[in-house]
Amino acid sequence: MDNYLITYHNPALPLVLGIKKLSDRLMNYFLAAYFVLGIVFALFYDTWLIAFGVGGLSLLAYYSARVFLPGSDLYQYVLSAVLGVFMAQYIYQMHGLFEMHFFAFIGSAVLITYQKWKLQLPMLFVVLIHHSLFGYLQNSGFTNIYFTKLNYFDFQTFVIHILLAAIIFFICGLWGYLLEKYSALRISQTLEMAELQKEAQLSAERKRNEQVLKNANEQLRVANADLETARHAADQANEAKSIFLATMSHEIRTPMNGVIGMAALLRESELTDEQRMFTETIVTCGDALLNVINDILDFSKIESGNLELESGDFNLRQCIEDVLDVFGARAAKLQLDLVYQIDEDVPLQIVGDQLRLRQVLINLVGNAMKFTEQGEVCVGVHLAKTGHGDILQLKFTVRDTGIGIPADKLSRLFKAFSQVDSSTTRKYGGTGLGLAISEKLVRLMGGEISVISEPNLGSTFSFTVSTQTGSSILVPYTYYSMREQAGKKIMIVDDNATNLTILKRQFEHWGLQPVLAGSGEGALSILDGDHTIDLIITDMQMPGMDGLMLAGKLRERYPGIPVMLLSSVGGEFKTHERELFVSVMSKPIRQHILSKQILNALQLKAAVPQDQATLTKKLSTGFCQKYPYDLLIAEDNPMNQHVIVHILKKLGYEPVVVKNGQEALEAANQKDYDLILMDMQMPVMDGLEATKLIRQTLVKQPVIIALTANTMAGDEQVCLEAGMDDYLAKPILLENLMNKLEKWHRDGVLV
Amino acid sequence: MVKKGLVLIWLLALCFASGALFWYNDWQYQLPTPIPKNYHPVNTGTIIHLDSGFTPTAGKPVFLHFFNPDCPCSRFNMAHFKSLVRQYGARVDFIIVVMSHKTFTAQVIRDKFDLHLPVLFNASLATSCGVYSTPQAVILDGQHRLYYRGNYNISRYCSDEKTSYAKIALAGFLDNRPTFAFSRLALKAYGCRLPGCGN
Repeated sequence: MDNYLITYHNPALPLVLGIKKLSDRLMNYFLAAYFVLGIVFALFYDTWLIAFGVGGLSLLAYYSARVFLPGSDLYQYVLSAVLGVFMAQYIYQMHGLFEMHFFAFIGSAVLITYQKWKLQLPMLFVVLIHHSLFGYLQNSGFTNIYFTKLNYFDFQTFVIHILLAAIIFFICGLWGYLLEKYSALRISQTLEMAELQKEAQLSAERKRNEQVLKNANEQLRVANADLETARHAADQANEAKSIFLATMSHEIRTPMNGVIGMAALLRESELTDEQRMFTETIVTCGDALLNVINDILDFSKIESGNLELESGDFNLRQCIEDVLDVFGARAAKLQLDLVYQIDEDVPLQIVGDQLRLRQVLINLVGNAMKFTEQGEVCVGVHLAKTGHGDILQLKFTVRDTGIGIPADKLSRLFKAFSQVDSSTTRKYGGTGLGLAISEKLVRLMGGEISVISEPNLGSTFSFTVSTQTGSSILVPYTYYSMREQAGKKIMIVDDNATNLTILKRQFEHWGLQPVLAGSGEGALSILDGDHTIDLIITDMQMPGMDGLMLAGKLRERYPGIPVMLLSSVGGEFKTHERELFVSVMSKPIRQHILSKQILNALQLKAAVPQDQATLTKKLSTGFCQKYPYDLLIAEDNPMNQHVIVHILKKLGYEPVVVKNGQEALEAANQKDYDLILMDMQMPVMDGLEATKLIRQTLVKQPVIIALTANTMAGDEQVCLEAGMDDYLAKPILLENLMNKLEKWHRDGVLV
Repeated sequence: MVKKGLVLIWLLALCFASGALFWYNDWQYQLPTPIPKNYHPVNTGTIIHLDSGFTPTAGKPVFLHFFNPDCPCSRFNMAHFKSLVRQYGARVDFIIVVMSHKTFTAQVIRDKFDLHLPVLFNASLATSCGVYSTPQAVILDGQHRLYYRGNYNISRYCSDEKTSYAKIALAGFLDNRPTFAFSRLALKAYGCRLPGCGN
């Protein structure tokens, strides 16, 4: 490190050290020659003592200085003095032979090799001191010193001698000095050259790199251009796909609206049994076709990335119960138990896309029911894991006791257009898209779907969903407090163990004391021993003694205990049979209905208002009296005009119909309408344009609801941004229409 | 620093040692040649009988140069002797008397001097002349009477004219100025002892 630092600070150092080493080696030869020369001169006049003595002492002086102080330059100065002494030695040996003075020049020249002018000085001092001393001594009359022919000190001669010697030494010193300077100059030039070469190399390297970079940039530019082109093409393809989907969605839904709407209207009219059967078939097929179309469109949307999930607060229990409601009738028909269970630690209000969650559950429950001939279908909701903040993962399971799925077929389940068995298609129907769509929807919801199955034992489909606890204030799920009934004993009679378990947990959660019985006989035997039962809830369909028979026996033996019945939808009772029960509940049981009925049964007086009786027929002119409107319909398609006008007339309305946006605008300007049903795609002026103009021109603004067959993401937003108040998807479902009319009347538009 | 100081002291010591050697050597040179035990001095005016091998020129002075080839002083003196021969050769008979245990031929001696001079090998001539060292100059007059016997010069370098005794004596004799005395420095022999060079 020190050598590096020294070298760094003095780049000439290696050269200097090299010169020193080389010169020292040269001096070894010169000094040896000097010594030998002394011996040769000794031959002349037998001056052996001087040759060996003085010569040896001179060499000793030089080498001892060199050995003992190797790092010092002292030995070089000793060398200079030694060369002067050798000269004196030769002059003495040759008895004053003047030519011996040439050794001064030789010595001076030899010292140049060290490239140090200062080395001339010791020799000069030796000569100076010798001349001065001997001249003085001789001048003083010291006769035994031979020095010069003159026996007195001649100052001029002395000065000339010294000056001449000085000139010689000066020239040699200058030579050494210049050599050193030239070496240093050469070194610095070499270093500069090396720097320049390095710079040149770097420059060349830089140029090469620039070229490489340029080439790479060019390639990148080309690649980017290609990518841009590809992206543009992909965007165009995507756009084309989206347009295709939107157009197809519109083109398919518009006639479907006519088919389903007309079939619904037909069903409400007076029909013969055969006609009713035909009508039901049309309705069923229409619904089925709509489901297939929706599946296909959903699948296309997901594949093209056009499907976006909604994010809103909703009640989980209501969502599950809505799903089970869809299959309630079928479950009763197939005599399957359809139950659900939500764990206590699962928050009931969550954030997500209720519609899509329901879609997945409907698909799984539908499949479960399709492939289960007997037993039960149970929907469970569990808390899988919690994360930071309110983020949590819920696990939904749909368990059935159906035919099961062979293990080697499980891997194909979630693939599109795949069935477990091709014969399944013939026996059970289906497009094979349901599970594929469910799988993709579950992925969009941040979860995964899986299945475990045992042939002939059943299957359990599970999927997880990432969600968070909801915080918005929802229209409250009807909840009745059971606090006052805490501790009351409720007997549950059901042959289905799952049902028993679910109800037991629910009652314990309400603070009630459930008592379980697996059969009618078991219930009676428990009652014989326990007279503190406050309420009995019994299933209808049980082996041996069914619910009706049990209720009869209970009326005889324990008339004070109220009995509630869990019945499949569609069950008809005679009057005396109906009177055995304080209430009859339909399966699948909604929690709030169960709690309400239990409260009613346990209280002497009815504490809860009765719900309005559901309409036996949906279409009734009383609807218009309840929710009066001046209605304007803007629809260009005559079929759709016909459908909607008929529906509204059945509801008691007298709507005005126009066939495009321009006419709608003119009509709205002529009369104050309360609500306008505006189709989106119309000739002359479309619904969006008409809405914008209505919003700009009218003083009294009507409610404008869009009727559209487009169900792409963003369509609703477009409608709202245009100034529309709401959105109805085609084909228009009667219930949806009625809900919208009810909603906008209740929301205070008309008050 | 201490080491450097010690080295400097050592160098100074060596310097003094060199000086001492020079001084000693010079002191040795300045010592007179020891007089042999059985030395008989020969006074000036004594007739010297020369070797029969040499036929002198009648009436011409003779200059005897006692020379030992092995004696450094003799060797150094050769140039001076040659200058005397060149200067006075026509007026004086110069003879080289070789004083050595070794055998030389006359021609060898002549070649050394590069002079065609008579060379004598008679060692008794030194005794006859009272010479006991080399180099010594002996000047005989025309009658072969001893005129001068002594050193060539005060210093061994033989270049000091003022003390070039042999030359002065010869010049004085030839100029008929025979009556001046020489100092002890001229007459007391300095040089190599005879017969071998032991100085």
